[in-house]
Amino acid sequence: MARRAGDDRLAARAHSVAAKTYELSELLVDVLGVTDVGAHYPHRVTYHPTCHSLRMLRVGDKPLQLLRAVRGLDLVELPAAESCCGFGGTFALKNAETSTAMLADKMRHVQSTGAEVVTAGDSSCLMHIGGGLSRLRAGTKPVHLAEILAGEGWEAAL
Amino acid sequence: MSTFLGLPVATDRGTLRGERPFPAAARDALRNSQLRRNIGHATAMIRVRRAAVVAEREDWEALRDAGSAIKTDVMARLPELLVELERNVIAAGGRVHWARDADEANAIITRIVQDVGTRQGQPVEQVVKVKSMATQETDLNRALAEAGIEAIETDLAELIVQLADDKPSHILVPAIHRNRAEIREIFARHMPEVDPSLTDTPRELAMAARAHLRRTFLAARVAISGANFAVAETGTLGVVESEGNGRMCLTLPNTLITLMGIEKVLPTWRDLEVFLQLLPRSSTGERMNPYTSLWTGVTPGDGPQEFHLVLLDNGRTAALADEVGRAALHCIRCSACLNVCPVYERTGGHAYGSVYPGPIGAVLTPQLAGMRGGHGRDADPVDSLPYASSLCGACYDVCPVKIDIPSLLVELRARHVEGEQARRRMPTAEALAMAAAAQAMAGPRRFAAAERAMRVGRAFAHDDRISALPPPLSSLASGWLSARDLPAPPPETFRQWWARRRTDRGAR
Repeated sequence: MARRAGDDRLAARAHSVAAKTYELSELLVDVLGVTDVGAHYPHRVTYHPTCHSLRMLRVGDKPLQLLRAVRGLDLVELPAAESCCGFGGTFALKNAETSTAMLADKMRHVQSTGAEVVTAGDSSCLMHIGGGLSRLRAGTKPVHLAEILAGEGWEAAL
Repeated sequence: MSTFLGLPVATDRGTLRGERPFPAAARDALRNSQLRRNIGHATAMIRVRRAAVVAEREDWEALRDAGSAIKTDVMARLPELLVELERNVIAAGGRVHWARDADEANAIITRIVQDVGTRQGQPVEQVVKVKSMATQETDLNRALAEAGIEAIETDLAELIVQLADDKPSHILVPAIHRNRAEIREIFARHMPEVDPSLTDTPRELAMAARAHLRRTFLAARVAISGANFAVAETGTLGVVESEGNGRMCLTLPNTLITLMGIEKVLPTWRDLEVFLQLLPRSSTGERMNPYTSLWTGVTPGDGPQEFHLVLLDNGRTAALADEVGRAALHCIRCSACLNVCPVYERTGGHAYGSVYPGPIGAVLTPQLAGMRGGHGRDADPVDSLPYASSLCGACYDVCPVKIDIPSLLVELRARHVEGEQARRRMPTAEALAMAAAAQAMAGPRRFAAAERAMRVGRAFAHDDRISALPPPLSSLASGWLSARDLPAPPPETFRQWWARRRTDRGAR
């Protein structure tokens, strides 16, 4: 983008920052070589692979490796996991109704798992899915992957 | 930096510019439960089939790279390849016509059909057609009808659309929005000779269409087709299809007219090897399509004795001149991007208002038709297309020629925003919000201050959630709050918590 605007210096700076920036699960699994972070999180959890983690950053199953190592965590597979939740930044406002239609299907799949918690590596998607579930008083809440990995006991979920 | 993208290039007429912006058209589509179910079911089925046949090819990524490289080469040498194609078609006994836009293409084809009638002393009142996106783009059937020539669509799905006086909603499966029961009704109502006891089993429906079309094929004097490929070095044209009705059109009538977008040319015969693998696996999820027809000019005593190739520009040269936009011309119309698109899956194709719907339509249409700007009631519907995507990236993953559709959409959005900024004296609320965000994100201190300021939002929260906001905030967030709550901003920002945690630990 910087290059398109003709700013090569900014592009070089952006490149150097990008080279040392990692997604959380990448940092833990690839850079630090850790899959078991010693967390305890006794809840039924389903993982939504967000479009950016799945198709742009290509983090693959690293978040799942981390979640599987969390003690007490009951990980349930999300049906149609790879389809977009409908957030898409301004898409959720400019095309609110199409976004809601996509969200409705995502929420249906989340609820079909019986999970208490839906997690992801992307806060904005969680705000979207969580916002929909909250409106429905669905009883499933959004929790970021980092919060689960920081979990030290049952009280961490409260 | 070139700025061709977004300039109006095509004529007003035609089938690229819808009547309403995408969000308004999508609203109606979303309410149509039958359409939602039909398209959801059909796209899910094609997705599974495609994934299976793609997974069995170990060299799939290499094939995609090859497809992308060939197309990049074609775009770099388009003028010389087209001249080579023209030379070789003529050498093989065909004739070549060049059409700047849709109207010119329609006029050329109408004149060719009329000339056949004049020469044979009997006007041609009916022509048969092979399924073709190019003729959909130029609205050829309407132009022929105005000249008293009836164009009969022979592709089963295209026939369904034509009989119902409907519009195609998918590049490959134009009647994807219809189910069997609806098709049975359309046949019963619009095929005069059909057996009234017709059921909705696929076999009976196909047999009814077969009986309906067979008489037409045998009587047809002129056929009109599109083309999937043209080979410059041999002057060969190619059509891939499933039903064999295309083959009937391409071989039975004495005169064949092919309308082809100029970007469809390939340099060499060998290049077909790549595309004949990429296309069927990506589009119908088949290893190989049932019928591949290739023809080179005219063969005396065999097949059509008169062959015309009409080369269509209609905005393509303008797209080619744009270094970013030209990637969209690599498209081979496989429709894999439509089938994986979560937006298309919910709204269907009609909401896009263009013969090219879905992700590729959202980048191709603005380039072929131009984005004309304007706001409110005067807004150009085409301007809404680059926003008709959540940028989830599924389309890029499946594209057989690796068109980075999400990046092209973002580029088109940027040009639309820049264009509107230049046109308008007053910035929009969105522009103001974006400017404020840019300010806040310009430095860590400002960002921290903005984060702290967010706490004000707690005033609107009940039970840790925000379900409604007072004006003027309500108008900004109405799209969001209509179906979703907002989480209440936390009492403490992450930075504050982090700093406190360090101090607490230090104190211990």
